[in-house]
Amino acid sequence: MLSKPMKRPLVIFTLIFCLGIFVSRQLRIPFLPVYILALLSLFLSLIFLKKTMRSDIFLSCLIFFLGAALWKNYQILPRCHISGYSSYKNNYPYTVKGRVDSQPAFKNNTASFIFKAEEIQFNGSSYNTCGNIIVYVRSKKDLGSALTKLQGLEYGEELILTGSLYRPFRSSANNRQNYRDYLYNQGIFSVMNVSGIDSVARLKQNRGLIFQRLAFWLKDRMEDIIFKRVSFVPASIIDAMVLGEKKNIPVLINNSMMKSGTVHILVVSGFNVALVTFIIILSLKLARIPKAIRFYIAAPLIVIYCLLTGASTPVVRATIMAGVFMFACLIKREPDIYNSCALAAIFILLINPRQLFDIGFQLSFASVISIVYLYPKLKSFITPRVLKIKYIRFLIEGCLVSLSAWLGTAGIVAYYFRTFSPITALANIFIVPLASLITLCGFSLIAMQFLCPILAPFFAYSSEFAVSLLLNINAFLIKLPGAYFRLS
Amino acid sequence: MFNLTIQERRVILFLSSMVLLGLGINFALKVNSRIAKYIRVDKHITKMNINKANLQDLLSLSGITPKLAKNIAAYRDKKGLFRDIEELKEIKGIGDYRYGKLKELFYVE
Repeated sequence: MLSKPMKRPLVIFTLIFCLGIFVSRQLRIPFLPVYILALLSLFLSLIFLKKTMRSDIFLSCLIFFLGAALWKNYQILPRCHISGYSSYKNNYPYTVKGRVDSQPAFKNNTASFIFKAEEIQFNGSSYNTCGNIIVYVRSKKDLGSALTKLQGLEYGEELILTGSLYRPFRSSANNRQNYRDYLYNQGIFSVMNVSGIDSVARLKQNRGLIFQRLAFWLKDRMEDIIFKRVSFVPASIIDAMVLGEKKNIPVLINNSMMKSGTVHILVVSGFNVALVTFIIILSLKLARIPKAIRFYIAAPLIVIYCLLTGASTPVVRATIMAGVFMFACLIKREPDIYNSCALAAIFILLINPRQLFDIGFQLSFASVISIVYLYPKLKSFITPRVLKIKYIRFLIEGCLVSLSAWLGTAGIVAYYFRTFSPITALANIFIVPLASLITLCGFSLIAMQFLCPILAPFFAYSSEFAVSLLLNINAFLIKLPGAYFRLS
Repeated sequence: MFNLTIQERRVILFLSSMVLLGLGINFALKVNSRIAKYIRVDKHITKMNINKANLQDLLSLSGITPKLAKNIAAYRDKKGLFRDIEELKEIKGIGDYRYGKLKELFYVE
């Protein structure tokens, strides 16, 4: 008798794969033994291919050791990697040639960007190198105009930089999350400080990917519109919600959102990708474009949006899930959210297994899984009669989604940020709908600027009002007794 | 009459309501400028009143070390309340560069 096929094999595979990464991180075993065990598991699963039970066991072992080997391999940096040339602190003047690998950020007379190194010079010798570093170009003396020389610096541009190179420090007293680990999780093992604009030589060549350059160009144009039409603080919030750019948000606002557990709305997350997907599909639907073509048009646009917002883990997860859902609709199959979530996790971890220990990765997956798993269970406790009234149903469903997400993420938030916020479940009920409205308003503002600029100021006023309302509600909620607790 | 689908109606309603809201705010701002404080983001949300901030509040801000927080509190105890944000420069450990960052975090009231 044939056994029934498993409904969600990808979920089990992903869990085993993650376990392999986790165990490999804890144990000090070299790469080769792990690799040999993976090969052995592959060999045994091939031999016992027809014996279901044994084949399954060896297949599980194979995936486990694959995860472990991937982690070990990721830990080994190439001999020429730039981190091999830097120590925790030295004063060599290093000269590094390479290209800008992110969109440069300008703040407080400092320009910062990720730099893909190709050649390094120090002590009169030159070496080929590889790897990413984070660069800070600081200008202390000529505060006003120096950095304007760097304006126009863009992704992909070739540069020669001269400055000090060092490994990042653990800049936080909190052992559970610090800047060094954050950088390591992004695959950045060195920091370069460049003092003064004269230490930056621009080679006027751009070798960035066209698709990525297009995304950043679009982002620049959209940011210009937002900051031109809306005053600075609301514009910084809209910029974060719509384009994922957090650099202009005042620290105090960030702190107060963290206290209320609603800081997730200040980053582009799965929610935004879902919203963008919805807007694109709906716009195409309104233009009477057939369903199949709608999906073919929407898919690259969502990928551009993902690149435009910096391709952070939650956005990549949501983009893959949206892609899976659209593909399932195209081939008329029922999409399974757990399997698409697992596919997104495998995809992210194959590129960078360190992401498993990244707070963003953990929060993103924990919130989605807890909403999908807990929400129907919590909803089953509510009597169906109450849910028949449309507005009460809407309110209760909102509360339950918020509660599910909070239950799933409260532990992680308490562990990393040492803050426990019971107010989160209540705050999300008010904040999330307002955040949706602001995001929609932000997109409408950008669209109106192109389609009908005369209407754009009205959208700007509405957005500004919604942001002000959101911040005031948040400020009120965190003042309530027992709103949040700092864990020692 | 218009033969619109429900989704088309929703989109039109959303856009119209946002324009209407914006129009209302624009009108209110022209008629009564005091309304601005309800519509614009208030400075107490984006910045901290340096005369009311205690040590815990100061430490919650990035870029403020425990030593600097103590220096700010000591300065306030010794010289009284801040009258201008530029007084921060008189505190030990705050040069032009750090002042540039700190003035974004505080206001004086």
